Amino acid sequence: MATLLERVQKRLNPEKAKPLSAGLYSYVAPPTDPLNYRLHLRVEPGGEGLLILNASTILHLNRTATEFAYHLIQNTPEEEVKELVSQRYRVDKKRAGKDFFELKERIHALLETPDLDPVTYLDFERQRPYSAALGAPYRLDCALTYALPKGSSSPAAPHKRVERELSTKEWTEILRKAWDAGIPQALFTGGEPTLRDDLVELLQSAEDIGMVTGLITDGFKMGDTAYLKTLLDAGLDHAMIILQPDDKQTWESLASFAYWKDVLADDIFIAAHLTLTKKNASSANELIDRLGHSGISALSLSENDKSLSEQLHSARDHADFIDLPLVWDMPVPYSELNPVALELDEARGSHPEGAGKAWLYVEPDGDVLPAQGVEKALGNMLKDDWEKVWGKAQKY
Amino acid sequence: MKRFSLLVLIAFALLIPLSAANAQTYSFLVEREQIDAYWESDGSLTLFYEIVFQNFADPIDFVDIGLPNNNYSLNNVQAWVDGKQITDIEDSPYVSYGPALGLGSNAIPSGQSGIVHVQVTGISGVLFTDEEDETYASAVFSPNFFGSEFVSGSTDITLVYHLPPGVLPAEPRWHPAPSGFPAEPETGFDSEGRITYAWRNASASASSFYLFGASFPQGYVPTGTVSQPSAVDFGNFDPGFFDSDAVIGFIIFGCVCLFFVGIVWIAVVADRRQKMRYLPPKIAIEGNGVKRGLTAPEAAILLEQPMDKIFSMILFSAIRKDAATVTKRDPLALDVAEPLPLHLREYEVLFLEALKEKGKVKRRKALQKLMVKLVKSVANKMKGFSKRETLAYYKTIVAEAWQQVESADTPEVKSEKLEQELEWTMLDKDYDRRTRDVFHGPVYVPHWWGRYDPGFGRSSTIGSAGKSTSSVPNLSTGSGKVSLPSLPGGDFAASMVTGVQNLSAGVLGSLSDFTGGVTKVTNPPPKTSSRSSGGWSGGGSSCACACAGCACACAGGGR
Repeated sequence: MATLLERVQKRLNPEKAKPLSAGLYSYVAPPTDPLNYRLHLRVEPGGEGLLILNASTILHLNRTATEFAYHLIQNTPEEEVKELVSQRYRVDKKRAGKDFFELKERIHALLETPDLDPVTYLDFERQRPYSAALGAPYRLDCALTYALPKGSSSPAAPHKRVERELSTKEWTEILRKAWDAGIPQALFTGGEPTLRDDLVELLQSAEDIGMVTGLITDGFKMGDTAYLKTLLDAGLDHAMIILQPDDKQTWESLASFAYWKDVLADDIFIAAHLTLTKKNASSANELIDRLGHSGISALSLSENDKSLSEQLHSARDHADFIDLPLVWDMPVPYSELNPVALELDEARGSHPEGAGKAWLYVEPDGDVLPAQGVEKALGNMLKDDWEKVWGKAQKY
Repeated sequence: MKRFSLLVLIAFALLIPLSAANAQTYSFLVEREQIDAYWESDGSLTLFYEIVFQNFADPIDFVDIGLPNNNYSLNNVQAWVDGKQITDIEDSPYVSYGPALGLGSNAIPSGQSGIVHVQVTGISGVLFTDEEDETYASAVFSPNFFGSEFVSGSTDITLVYHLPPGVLPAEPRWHPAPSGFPAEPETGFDSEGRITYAWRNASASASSFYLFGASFPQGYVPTGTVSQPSAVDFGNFDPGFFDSDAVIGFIIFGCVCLFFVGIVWIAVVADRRQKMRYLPPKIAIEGNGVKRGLTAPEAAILLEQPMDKIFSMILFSAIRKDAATVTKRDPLALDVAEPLPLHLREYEVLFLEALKEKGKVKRRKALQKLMVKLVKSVANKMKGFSKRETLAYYKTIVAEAWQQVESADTPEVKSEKLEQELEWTMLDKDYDRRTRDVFHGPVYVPHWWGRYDPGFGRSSTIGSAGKSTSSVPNLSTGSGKVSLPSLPGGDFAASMVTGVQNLSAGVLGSLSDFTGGVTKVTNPPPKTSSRSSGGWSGGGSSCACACAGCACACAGGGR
């Protein structure tokens, strides 16, 4: 039994409340919620956090906001949040309750109205992309294979010859390792990832862990609606089809996606990537119109030649004008030559670079690169400790 | 005079531990901290702080100022950062007593310095009876200091005591100075003739606790404003006055009292030690800054200009590109070039197509559809960029456009600049007045003016290269003796404004109805939500112009 002195000493030196434990927490809105959203909260070691809305909007939270976001994700009743926060922080319940309520409202406002300018209307601060020190990337690009369908050639595709491809078990291990490190999203790419028979299984594994999943594909196999449905059933959240405008199969796969999206009332986000070349630049607007009519959610654009910058900007303007939003940070051919990067490049001489920070790229044998095409190995995702890989990435 | 009440000291030490805004990534130097402490004739304290920060890490967005006690009102706190008034002032959640100053958009950025001024008046309960002379009041004060984890380097600290008015030079006494400060303060008089004691240490620490003090006769402040120190001084205790039982009883009673005081004190301290500091929740979103490359009509959408003005800008742009000629101004009728010139913007093409429509209703619907597309297009372009910074950028462009026009030396150059910057100058809400102000004399109208103003063309001929010549009045440019067509400045401005009005009345019909037809698509009413509404609304108001790139184009917008 503790003596009085010990008890007094304990009172004088109480165990101090600590920030939330580092970790990744996710929340999927119930089907009845019309917003149909998904949240990922990554609590960093210092207690600050990253809240990712629908795998796309990234919010940086201070320690208090992280605490509230944690309770939002855990669906903690409001009264309990007030109690818990006032027990852990020097704040009264009333203030804690008010701040929690306002934080919830601001996040819901952003979910309900994605176009709302959060700085002007929700009192958010703005942070330059990829400028924060991160505990882990936002996304892991997993090149499952470098194989391509027979007869196809893609000069911009990764060309490294790997000695072997990882097994299903090994990729599953990598996904788990990534989740434990705090990476909320896995993007399966290649080569052509649909050539891997275990793609559905890997999608399901990632989904089971709680990850957001994406796929970059030529789309040829998507014409097989049964196959496509298995991908959707496995939890595929978004897909990007690398457009090969002259190939009929590309358009068929887009149609198939659009069909299943309607049939399943699925919330899958479909984008298409178009690389402007000297051959297709003159017909870019027509291609974009066709894509716009195909039911895709967004367009990714890049050029394979800097002399096409003007056409690229013009194509971007056209996409904007037909209300086809742009995505620009996916591991697609010539991804560094996209309209946003070029615009920022013109404006200030360098553009925010997410490679090695916001995303990492894992080759078919597990080697980690900062990004597709950046031939600088940071280690092996399977063999090396995550801390070692991430430590090297931060020096990249 | 050198001994102070222990508990008074403790009280100040506990109550004054002041801190700056707290976050893991704060790191700054306090270059200078100047404090003027006015000990007022009503027994209160007035404080003036000037704190010069040099910031190394995250923006300094909050500064907490610790005060001696809770006897202050937020209404009596005023603060400025770099001369700009701080309006977000609340009780600090971090310091025991004192305000938190929210610097908001004036936060001191990383790598920059900033000066914070604070004025607090009417702090009462700050004087205590001096232990050595009970006819004296003891005024003890410790300046604000910051957490050592945030602050680096040395600080030039100056504290100036302004004693109550009327105190005579021979009466007051200073207390021992803290380490590092001169033992004796510099004495003097301020502009009100009040005695001053100034302590300065050019290499002090902004994270250290320094305690200063002075005493003056209590007669200079009202009775009741000087409190008795609550210390128990055993130094003069003479046991001979009491029997031993009484002494023992007193000591036991005192110990019991101290025990309970101690329990309470321990509980309070333990509670504070146990809990973490609370910062207001802060959310930052990743995004780029200025969206460059918008055209003037696109910028007009962002700047929430009225829709008739936006269409006028598109019209001017099309005319300048030789794509159309106005054949009639009221109601507006165009002769559209066949084929259309290359490099027209898509919205210009759609605008001309819309105006080719014969029926008024069809034309109006086509223009509404165009405006919806334009608004959505701007919203798409703005995705990932800051609306606030972009707005500021384009406002600067408009200001610079006008500056170029206004600073031109001659009417010819003025006119030339106006033509170059026409659409940007039109973005100014005061376009009409400014045009009249700038062009007192003739305006040398641009070569395409005849295509815009059919009336002007009647007295002029259109040259083969599209350059017009005019009979009213021909003036020499002075250099090449080339005659340029001109209009009186007032007529020119009136013509521009009339053009907008004609477009509005003759083509769009009721501007508010037209605008409503657009905003019901671009800013649809909010979906019904089961959640209770709070301080944050989810957009969707018909005129909120809430989206990143949206044109409010509020009904009649901007007028």
